[in-house]
Amino acid sequence: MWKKGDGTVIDGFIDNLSMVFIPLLTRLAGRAQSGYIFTYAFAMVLGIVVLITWMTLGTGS
Amino acid sequence: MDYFLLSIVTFIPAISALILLVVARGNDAAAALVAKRFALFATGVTFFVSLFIIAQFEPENTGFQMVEEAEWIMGLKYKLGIDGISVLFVILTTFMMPIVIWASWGIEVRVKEYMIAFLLLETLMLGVFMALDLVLFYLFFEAGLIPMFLIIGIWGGANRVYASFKFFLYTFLGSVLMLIAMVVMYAEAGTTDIESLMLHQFAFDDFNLFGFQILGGTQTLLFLAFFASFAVKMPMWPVHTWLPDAHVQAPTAGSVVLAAILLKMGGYGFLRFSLPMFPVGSYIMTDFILWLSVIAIVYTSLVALVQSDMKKLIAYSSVAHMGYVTIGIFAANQQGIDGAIFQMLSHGFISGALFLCVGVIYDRMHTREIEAYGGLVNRMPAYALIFMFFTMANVGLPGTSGFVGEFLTLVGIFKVNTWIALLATSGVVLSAAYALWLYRRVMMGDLIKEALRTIQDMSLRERAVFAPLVFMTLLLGVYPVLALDLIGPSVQSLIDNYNSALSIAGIDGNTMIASH
Amino acid sequence: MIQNDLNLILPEIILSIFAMLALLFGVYRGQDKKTATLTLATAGLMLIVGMWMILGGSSSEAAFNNMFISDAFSRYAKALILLSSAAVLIMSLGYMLRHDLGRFEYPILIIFSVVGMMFMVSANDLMVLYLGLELQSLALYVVASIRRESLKSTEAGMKYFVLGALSSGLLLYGASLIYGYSGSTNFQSIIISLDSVSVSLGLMFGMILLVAGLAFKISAVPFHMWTPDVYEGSPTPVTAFLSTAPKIAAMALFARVVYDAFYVLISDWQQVVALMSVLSMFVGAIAAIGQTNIKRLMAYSSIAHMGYAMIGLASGTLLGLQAMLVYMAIYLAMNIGTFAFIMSMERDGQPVTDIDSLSQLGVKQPGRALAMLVLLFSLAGVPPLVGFFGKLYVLRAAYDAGLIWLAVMGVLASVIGAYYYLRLVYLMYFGEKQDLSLDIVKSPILSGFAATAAVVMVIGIINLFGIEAAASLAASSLIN
Repeated sequence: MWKKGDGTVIDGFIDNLSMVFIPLLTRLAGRAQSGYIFTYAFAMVLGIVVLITWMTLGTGS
Repeated sequence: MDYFLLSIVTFIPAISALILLVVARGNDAAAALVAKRFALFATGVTFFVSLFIIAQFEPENTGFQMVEEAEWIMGLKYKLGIDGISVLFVILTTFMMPIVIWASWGIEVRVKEYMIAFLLLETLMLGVFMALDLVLFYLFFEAGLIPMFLIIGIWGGANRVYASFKFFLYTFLGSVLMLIAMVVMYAEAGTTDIESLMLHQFAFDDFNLFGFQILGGTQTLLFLAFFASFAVKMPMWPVHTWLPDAHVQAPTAGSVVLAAILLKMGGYGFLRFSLPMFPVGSYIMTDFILWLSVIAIVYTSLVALVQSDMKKLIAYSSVAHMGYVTIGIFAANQQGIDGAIFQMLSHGFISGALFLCVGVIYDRMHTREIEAYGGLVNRMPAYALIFMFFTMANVGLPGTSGFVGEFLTLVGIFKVNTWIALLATSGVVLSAAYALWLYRRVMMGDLIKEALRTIQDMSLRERAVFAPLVFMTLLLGVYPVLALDLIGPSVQSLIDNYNSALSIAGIDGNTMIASH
Repeated sequence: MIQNDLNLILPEIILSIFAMLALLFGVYRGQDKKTATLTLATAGLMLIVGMWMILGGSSSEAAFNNMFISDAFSRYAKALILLSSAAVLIMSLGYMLRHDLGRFEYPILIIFSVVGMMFMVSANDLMVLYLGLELQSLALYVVASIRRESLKSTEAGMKYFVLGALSSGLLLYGASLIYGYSGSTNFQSIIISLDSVSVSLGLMFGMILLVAGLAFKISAVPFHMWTPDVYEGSPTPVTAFLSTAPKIAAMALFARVVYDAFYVLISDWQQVVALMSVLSMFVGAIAAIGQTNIKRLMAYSSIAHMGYAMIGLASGTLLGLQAMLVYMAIYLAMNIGTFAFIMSMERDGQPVTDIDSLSQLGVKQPGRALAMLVLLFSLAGVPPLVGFFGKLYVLRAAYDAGLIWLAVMGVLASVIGAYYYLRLVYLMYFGEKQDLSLDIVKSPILSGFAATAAVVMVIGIINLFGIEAAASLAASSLIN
């Protein structure tokens, strides 16, 4: 019983974090690289919008 | 620089590794033998030279001795030195390494690289204990991950890849937080010199972080960052889960080094950094740590009871023993800290020996499952004796060093918090339970299993490997003063500084006793 | 007057004239047969000019109506650019000849790109900035697709070109906004105009667009998406080049722009750079984990490293700038070594970029594997290798500037990122037996570079080869 406890609870939590959550993000990142220029260009423009927003919010107002 | 001794002792293994890298060619048995002998020679020489350190060490001088200093990059310093707290760890390291190398005589795969990895590891471990510059310490501390990663991953067991990654990433995560803390310390204090930092007073005004009131402010945060690293290293509950996997998968010698020396770096870190440099933070977190330690002791002892893998059992036992160490350290009194250091030394010998014991029968039967054994006493009387001896030492039988360590830490914590002391003492009973039960299942009874009928008792080499460990365990058990005299004054000075730092901060260290 | 100006750009003039003469020589004297000669001559010249830069002293002088500056900062950056370009050229020669890439135009295009880079780091004016940037980029677009018969290479060049054109367009638009709102294209004049007037939104927009264009060049998130595809598709020597010299040039230019032209707006761009830094470090760490192609993996690795270098930039302090410069120097050394190793990965005479092919390399070719191990741990930032000190520098700079959260993000990202470097080590040393193994490529040059880089990673901890002093000098010349 205790073996299960140690195994699943602590190991489970951290392993879960690193072996499920991060690979999830990795797969997302992989999918973002679609290979299409349009996507990339769009991302760039989107990025600029975000940055401008970030900058004006972070300082101006 | 007036002294070179410390640098010499630190780098002999590394230079030997370099020589081995360049010289010994070929993968055949002859080259392997050369590698083994050379490594044994190198570690032996290191041990011999390190004895000069002890010879020249003056216990009553509570400052750092044999200090070597040189300018380095980024305003950092290359600085080595020892005091009562570190000197015995250095000796422990140099003492254990030849034993570890000799115990690895049976390795057949890639012997040269194996020896190089261990030699490099020795240099890095020695550097950890002797470094007197913050970043230098970090460098040695972290760099040890590389050889250990390789040792577990190349020469380990079936699931070694998972274990080695887990070991590396877990420890790395803890340590990078410590790195941030070091950057902060450098900026706040203007230096990375440990001697100066011990005198520097870091801010301890409470402040607000994301809506949380942080008592002790900067000091507590710095303490926690360092704690993250040392807690993983020791290991403390609940960040201990990497240890059982690492131990089980590592080759025998790797386990010995891991248990005997690497784990001690955590305790050393608490003594060298947390208590002296963040006294207020330490004080505030003391209760938290004491309870974590007690949970560790009780919980891991219970878990040890249900283990079916011998190495895992001993690994959990290690975690439990380290619980005593942290209790002793954070009791922050003479007996507590003396006990903690003593316990660390003794655990080095005892757990090292226990892992070697497992190694002996693993080499023969290639299984660590307790189920596979039974009644070995009938065929392996010498082994039975040694195994019994160290089992008893692990439990804390008076006359062995295990007793002294546990006793002192319990006395120390009893003066501070009786509840913790009570619960910790129960751990002694539990350790007797799992240790003796292990012994009974493996050694005693009738030899009924077929596979075991032809098992051989220990060879001469195996006995010789255990001899020094038996000797040290007994020596320290019956004459602990030998060690206690060396560490005493430095510990006293540590405690005095700690208490005076606390009183400067307006905390009466004695209120801890009153309120519990 | 003009004499002084020309004197100041003498290195660039020399390189340009050499490039044109080399082109003529190549065309009329045997074309591709002369590739080796040209490459070595180019590399040699770059080494000489690089040395000249190192010995250049600390004076600051301007030329062409203050459009071109030659100071310790530009000399530091140029030295790094020239030396790394020379190294990459020398490394690449053998590979290119072996794999049918031996175009004589290659070294010439590289020189043009380098000249562009040199103008970039000396630019004190938006016009010169753009000129240098375009010269560098155009040459690189061509070089990325130099393997004409390969679909991947052409695709890489095409993508780089189109996206690069987009980013240049954005940059130019930003530059025009800045010109419009500040009245000048000269950096010093811009900063003066910011001092006196309350800053208009238009000018800030312009700054962001300019930053975006530069961020594209250094592969900062979210302008990084071209990097994995272009790195993977281009021939390996080109990838090696892309990951080294252009990054330095773009970083240096970035530094000069934000410190010289926009320092007044530091609270604005600091946030932006910090955000890009964090995103880059994390994307670089996370996305690389699943990669099976080593060139793609290195692309993400360089994205992450640029994130760290940007920590130094985001700090906005002298220490931060110094940290960034030191980090870039260390990064260059690591990348050169790693790509030297990658270029030697072959099976049956064909280059392989599959990570799995590294299996058991530790057993079969221990020397090479050891060099790679050292480089990998250095890339991961694990002490005692030199890569760690780069990180230490930027972390210190971050805390010093009050950006401790950035430092914490940085170390967390480095733990995640450590995983894929460890995986390569695992493959080399603990991996399962594979039948596919790498050839033992007898290339002393490549082995030499890889080995030297590895040794540098270890020996460098003693004194970092004086980079600190040079970086400090460079940084202080910029801030003043």
